[in-house]
Amino acid sequence: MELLVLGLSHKTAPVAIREKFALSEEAVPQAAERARTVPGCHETFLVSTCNRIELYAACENGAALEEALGTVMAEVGGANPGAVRPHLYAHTGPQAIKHLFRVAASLDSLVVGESQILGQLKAAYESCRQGGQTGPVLHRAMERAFTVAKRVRSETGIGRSSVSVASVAADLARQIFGDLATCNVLLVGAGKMGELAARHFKTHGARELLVANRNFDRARALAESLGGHPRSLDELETLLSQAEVVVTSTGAPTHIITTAMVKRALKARKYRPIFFIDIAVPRNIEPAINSMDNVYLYDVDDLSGIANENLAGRKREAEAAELLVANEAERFLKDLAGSSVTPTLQALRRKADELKAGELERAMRKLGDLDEKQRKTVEMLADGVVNKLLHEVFSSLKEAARTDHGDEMADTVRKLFGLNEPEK
Amino acid sequence: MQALLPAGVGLFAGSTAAYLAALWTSKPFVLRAAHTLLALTVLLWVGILAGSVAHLSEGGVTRFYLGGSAIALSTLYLILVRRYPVSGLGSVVSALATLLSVFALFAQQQNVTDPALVDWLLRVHIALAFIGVTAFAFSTAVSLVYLAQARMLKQKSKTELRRRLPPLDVLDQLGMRGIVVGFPFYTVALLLGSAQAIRTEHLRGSYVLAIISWIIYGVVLQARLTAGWRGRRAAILTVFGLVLALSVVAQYGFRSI
Repeated sequence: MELLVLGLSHKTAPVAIREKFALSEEAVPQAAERARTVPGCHETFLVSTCNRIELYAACENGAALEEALGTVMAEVGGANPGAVRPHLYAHTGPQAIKHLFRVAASLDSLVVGESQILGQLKAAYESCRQGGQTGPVLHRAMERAFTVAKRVRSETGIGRSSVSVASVAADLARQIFGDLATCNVLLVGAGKMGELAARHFKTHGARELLVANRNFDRARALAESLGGHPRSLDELETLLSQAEVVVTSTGAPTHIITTAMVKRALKARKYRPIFFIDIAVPRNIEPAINSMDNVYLYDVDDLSGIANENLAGRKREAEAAELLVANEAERFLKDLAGSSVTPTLQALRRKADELKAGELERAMRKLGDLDEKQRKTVEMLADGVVNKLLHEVFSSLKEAARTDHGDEMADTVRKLFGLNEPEK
Repeated sequence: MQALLPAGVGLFAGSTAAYLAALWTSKPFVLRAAHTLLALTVLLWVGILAGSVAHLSEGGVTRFYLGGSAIALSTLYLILVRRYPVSGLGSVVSALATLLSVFALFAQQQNVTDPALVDWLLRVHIALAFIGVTAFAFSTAVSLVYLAQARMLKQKSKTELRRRLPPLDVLDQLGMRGIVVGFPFYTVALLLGSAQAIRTEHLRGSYVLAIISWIIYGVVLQARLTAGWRGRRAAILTVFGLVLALSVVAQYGFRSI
């Protein structure tokens, strides 16, 4: 039994193709079940995200099933197989294991190190497990993939830093205030970037969101969509004394927040710190305020600079993560090989025990009345002979399992000892 | 037990190095190792001081309290780190504990010439002063990290170190709590010290330094409570106040009464 992965991702297919494969939660086990009906395919599991769709299958011969499963994949997307095939990639055996581990560890993601993919993989696997499409081979591979992903996150810095402007701003706010739940956020203006940043703050637990805009109706509409409270821009100075985080994103050609305003606001708020995020171009906040005590000002270049640095840091950490994944994949394959001789070991032990029991019974009958001590001595003799004989065979089999010769050696042992075919 | 003092100082220095390594590498096991080393150092110092209690009447009070301050400071940090995200404070706290332990190592066994000087008033004065100084030392450690963090945030630093230091607001609150706790002890200690000085007619220049440090902490506290004054200048004053308080301690520790 080997693992096959067949899929397409942001690396191989444009969004026009990928969007065809956006499956609902309910559709995932159905698609996996359709693939499992392909002859030779025993277990399946399918994951569908906005950046990838992948079918994992445990089958007899992965390479032979690529064609048939490719057709199933095209069906799932409701696309012409000919149009989909150029975007599909396939990995079998060790390559498939390594690919799975890389995907789970977010090394194959659009933004390397993002944490969403692990949750998506877990949800998709659970859905297929409940649907009955998975089995012991996929279970083992997935469990190990989740463990590897956790190791990568905890032992490397791959997911430690933020790489979007909004998340960098939220991180900085946490470094100033500790907890976003203690922060009121004021959004000034209705620019798209500002809206994104404000939404990020709100979804990450900011206490209250105030939206101020020159056009009050626009402020009200935006506040409603963000779960905040609308305010008039005329109240700006008062609002500055109430907010810990101020995001500006207006189209104003001049500074709407000046040093004098901030000085007054600071006094009114008893010098509690304020974090200004000026995403507007041209800038809305007088840059000189950054020199004031308890005031922190970041513009869009500052935030982008940190985001880019963090991204570069993630790429550096990804090198260590790749090494960890490669080692784990190798270890998993060895464990898997070890388990391939287990049925033979079990069958041999069973047969030896049956033979021993039969011969012992015959010998006991011939020997007649034996006392307890004599009977135990005979049993020990039989145990000793069997164990010593099997010890060498077991050692050789386990040794072979660590190389590529495990299956070959297991076959030889089965022939030599007349064992039945192992259960798959 | 006194022979173990250099080892105790070395262990505090080792803890500082371990915390710096934890800050630099950001590896959880390095931080755990640093915590363990600091905890072991505290235990060793408890043993050293317990062994020296019997000899307190012969002098060595300053050494005892300096060691006690280093222990209290480190223990306070080890407790707080379980509740607040302040693991980044470790290097500064243990560095200050190292400084206090160096003072303890070189503090002289005072040659007590006047039995009146070791009466209860002096003992209470010294004990209260050291509780105050320990609390101020904690605030100073916090303030030093505050200054570093505020500077990195102002300069828009892209270094990993910025992320490893505690949030400004947490540092601000902890620093202020240290002053709030230490100030009453330090105030009473100064009053008792003044009474002792008047009684024994031993008025020294060190009292002036002690009073200046008391005024500094008083100003920081008053300004914070009435006007909410905080930030970089408050942190600088906190550090300056401790420098003065420690110079008073040094004057006591390095010469005979």
